[in-house]
Amino acid sequence: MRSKELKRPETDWVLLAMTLFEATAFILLAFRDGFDFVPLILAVSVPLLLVAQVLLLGRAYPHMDSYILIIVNFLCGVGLIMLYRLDAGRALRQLLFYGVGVMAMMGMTFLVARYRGWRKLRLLIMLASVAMLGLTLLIGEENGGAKNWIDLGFLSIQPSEFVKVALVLCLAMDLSERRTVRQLVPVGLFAVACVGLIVLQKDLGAVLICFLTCLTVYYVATSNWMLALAGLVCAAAGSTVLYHLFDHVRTRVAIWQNPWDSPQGSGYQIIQSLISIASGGLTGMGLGLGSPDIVPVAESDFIFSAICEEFGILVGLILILLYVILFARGLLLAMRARSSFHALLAVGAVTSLALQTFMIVGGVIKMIPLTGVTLPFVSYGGSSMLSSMLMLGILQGVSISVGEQDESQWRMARRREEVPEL
Amino acid sequence: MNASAYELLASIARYWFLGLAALIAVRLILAVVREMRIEWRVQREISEAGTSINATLVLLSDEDRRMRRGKLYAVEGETTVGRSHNCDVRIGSPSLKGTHCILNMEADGMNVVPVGGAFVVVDGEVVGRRALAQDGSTIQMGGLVFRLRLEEGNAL
Repeated sequence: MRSKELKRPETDWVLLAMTLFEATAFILLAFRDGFDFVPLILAVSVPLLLVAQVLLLGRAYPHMDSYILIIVNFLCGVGLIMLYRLDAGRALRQLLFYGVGVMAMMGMTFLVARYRGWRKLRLLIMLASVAMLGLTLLIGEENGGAKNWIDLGFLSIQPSEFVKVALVLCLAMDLSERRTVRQLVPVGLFAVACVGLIVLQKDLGAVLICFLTCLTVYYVATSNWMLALAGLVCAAAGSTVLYHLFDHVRTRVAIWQNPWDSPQGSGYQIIQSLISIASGGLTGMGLGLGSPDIVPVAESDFIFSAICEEFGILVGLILILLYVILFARGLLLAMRARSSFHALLAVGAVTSLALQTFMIVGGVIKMIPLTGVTLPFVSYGGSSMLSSMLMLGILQGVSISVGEQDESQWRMARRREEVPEL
Repeated sequence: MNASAYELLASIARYWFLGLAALIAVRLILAVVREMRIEWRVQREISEAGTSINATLVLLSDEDRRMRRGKLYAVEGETTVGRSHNCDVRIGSPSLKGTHCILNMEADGMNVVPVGGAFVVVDGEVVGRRALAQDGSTIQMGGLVFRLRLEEGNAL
């Protein structure tokens, strides 16, 4: 257990407020059309999942970062509330993904904190992710201009989501012990293969996230700004080529510059999103009183505009603030880490999640061109939820190993002070 | 419940949600800032007491005998040794590469990893990928020979 001097500040009030938020929102939804019994079950189970995780995992691993844990669970809860309001069936499926995601998170945490044989797994991870991406190209389903789904009948998965986690793991592993350019050829080839295959799938949001994550982790590991800059120039050149090559990239940029050119056609989605955010105003329409379901795919990519409409822009801003706290905690972990493997893992996970959040929130409010990625932890989608939870698991694993090291060294420092001088 | 009653309830409830969200944000920020202070204090105490040093390298000899024998270099966590400014242990010997090797403490000893095909010998054997050095091992990097001393109780 943690010693008394290292006792963390209390988060009981935060936890209570989060539980109340989730419970009251679901109870309110129960009375929306007459009376419905299902939200009442959610009103108990979702806060219970949050409190149980904090209590159980906090006991089992006192060095787990409880701030990251409660923030993520609250984001998942808000996502579930909005999903239930939009589409009850999807919300129940999402609850299942959430549960599976929590399990995956615990597994990943344990692996990162305790497992030492990552080097043996490296090749397996690389081959599996390239194979998954190749398979998607062969038998994938096309969805919104991108061929990035594999339909397994009972559920469809999006391999590019899992490749992000694989990339973070492999990059951290290789860059932590091989420093010369020649030694980095294998992991470089792997990164190029992943990015190339995702480009072929035309899943441009995932391309951007993977590429920029690779570049950031590479720069942090080697502080070689020449090559990092060269990478950025390549990215700029590549995106210009893609702009001229792919039709739907040109459409995305055109509707970003002026969506009012075709308000009923390609600009419809972004215009509806802007209208829905604006009609919510600062304090929102009230849960269940707006009409966020007019926006196409409001449940996954555009869930942020749905939240802004019904809960208000202020709550939207607070959600962004929670994301920022999450990423800041992650980067602080990277700074405290004693081994570069753990530091790079934390940097990779944070970069990937932060880029994804920035891209979709920026896209929904028309700050940058829209790229079809999900809002981590909030949007509907099993693959997205699972991969975000795996990233969270990476962060928690790093937090545990950093915390344990710090505490043992701190105890030793205390003992040394107590020995009287001779 | 009829529609107008729900409308009234939901439009009142939005302020309740906003208040709760604001409470969450404020309390979280305060807690995170306080936690950061604790973490910094712990880091400071550790670095002042030097308990994060888990090994020392003792210089036994260098090729042209210009450096002082018995000079000590602290190995703290994951340590890079080499000639460049970026290295944690910087030794200006021409026989070393810019970043010559990485020393990393593991549960069963000190992991020695040469960088980019650098010349490293541990206990008389030339190191290819990595080698494990124990307390008292001799480590040769370029033309420099060190003895490794692992600190009791500071191991991971």
